[in-house]
Amino acid sequence: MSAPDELVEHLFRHQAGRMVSTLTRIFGPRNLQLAEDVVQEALIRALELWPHRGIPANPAAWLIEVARNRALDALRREASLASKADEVARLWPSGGADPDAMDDQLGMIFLCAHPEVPREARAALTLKTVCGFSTAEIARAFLIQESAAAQRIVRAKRLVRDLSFALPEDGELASRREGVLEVLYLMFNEGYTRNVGDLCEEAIRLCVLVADHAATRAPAADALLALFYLQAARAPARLDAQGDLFLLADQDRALWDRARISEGLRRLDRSAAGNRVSEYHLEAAIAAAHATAPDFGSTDWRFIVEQYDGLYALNPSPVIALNRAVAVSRAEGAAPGLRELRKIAGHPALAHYYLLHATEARLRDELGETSEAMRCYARALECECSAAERRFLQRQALAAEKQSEPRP
Amino acid sequence: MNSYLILLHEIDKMPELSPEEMQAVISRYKAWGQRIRATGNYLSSGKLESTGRVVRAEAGKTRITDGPFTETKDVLGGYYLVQAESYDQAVELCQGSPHLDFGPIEVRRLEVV
Repeated sequence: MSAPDELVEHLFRHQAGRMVSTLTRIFGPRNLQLAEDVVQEALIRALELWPHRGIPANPAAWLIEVARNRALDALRREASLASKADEVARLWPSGGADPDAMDDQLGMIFLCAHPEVPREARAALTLKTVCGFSTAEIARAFLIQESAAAQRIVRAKRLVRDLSFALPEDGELASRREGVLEVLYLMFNEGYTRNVGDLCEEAIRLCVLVADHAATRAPAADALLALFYLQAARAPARLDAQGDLFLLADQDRALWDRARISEGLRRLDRSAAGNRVSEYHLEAAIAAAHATAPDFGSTDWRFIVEQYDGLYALNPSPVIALNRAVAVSRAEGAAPGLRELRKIAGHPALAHYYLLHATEARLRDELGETSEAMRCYARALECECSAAERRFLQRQALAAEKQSEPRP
Repeated sequence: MNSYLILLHEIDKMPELSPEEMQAVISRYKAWGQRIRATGNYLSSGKLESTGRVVRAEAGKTRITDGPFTETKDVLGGYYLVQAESYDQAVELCQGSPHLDFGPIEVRRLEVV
């Protein structure tokens, strides 16, 4: 076999996740750090050698072989773990194939999303262990200080020490799976909002594991995966070369990823199997309505309003009400939309949410209330938002102002 | 044409790289190695193990200790042997080496003896 020309994209990241998961199962969650150290040593060895000897014919098998030997060395030094050596040797036979470690990764995902782990640390621990992210990459992904990310991870590792690696039993499975899906949803949203594509791709990869494995699959997992695919399909059209945002209305739909849309619709179909409609089902249905509309004008906004009604019934949050108001404004016009918006405008959770003010600005602008619209844009710009969002708001405000100027 | 040794000094303290970053570094090393080979100047290359033996003569006897020879601060990690017209050309071959992100490269001409 000749050596591959280039490494498969993300090979190290994914191989690290697989190996850490497998070693954590064998060593026990108590020795998660040891598992990570062994894997890190194997990767560093590759970094030292491959530039000189070239990329081996089977890079994944090479990494496993080195990790195996490092693991056996470590176990020899650690008397309490000596009994684990046989299992390592059996699972990763010398010169053997590259096991896909699907079950181990699932075990790891469920461990990271365990209710004993604080909510804000679950995604960080998942990224660190199953996705091979460094602490610095996690800090960048979540816009937090590296020390804060490190602290979250250390704390989470301490909390999983005595937990079982095994997948939860039937009675507990559904609620534990909900926790896992919540982590993946958070990862994806964080990535999507701030255009960290790697976060979205990892959320998709792990969601496929959950949705396709006999022990964990469920309609809600399919629905979430459908939502991911349908959202990610639009990513190529969301930003221009300068990194500026395109609203759905202005996106070039030819850039949407057709393969992902079909995959999303297929998953959405599959998710209809159960008798319970989750929030993910409704959100995916909304994403599907957008993804299948040939142009913005033919979007089925009434259908979308209905889905938001369902979402609001499941989760009466002001953000859902805001999105519903936007859909109402598209389905029925700016004035009814504004009426819906007024109902939630005083909600404290939205006071500093730029989208509330930006939406009101757009509706006022459409109604010809330019000076009020300008005040709303100013309020939106006072809120926290990304640089791309800020530039977008500034462009909108400028356009509204220009339009209202008396023609010479 | 003279022969030049391009000496990659071992990286004292490797920055903490993520798996993704390590893979990117390997790809860059590969590209650099290919570029050097494509120039026709390449003769051979190798990676040194991080430890070895040091042989000394002491009072008429040879004494052998585990190395590396620790008096030099930088330990050699790997080398490329190349042919070049001048130091300028040999140094040019080092351009784009990812090794420069982590440590220095030393270029030495082999004296014709």
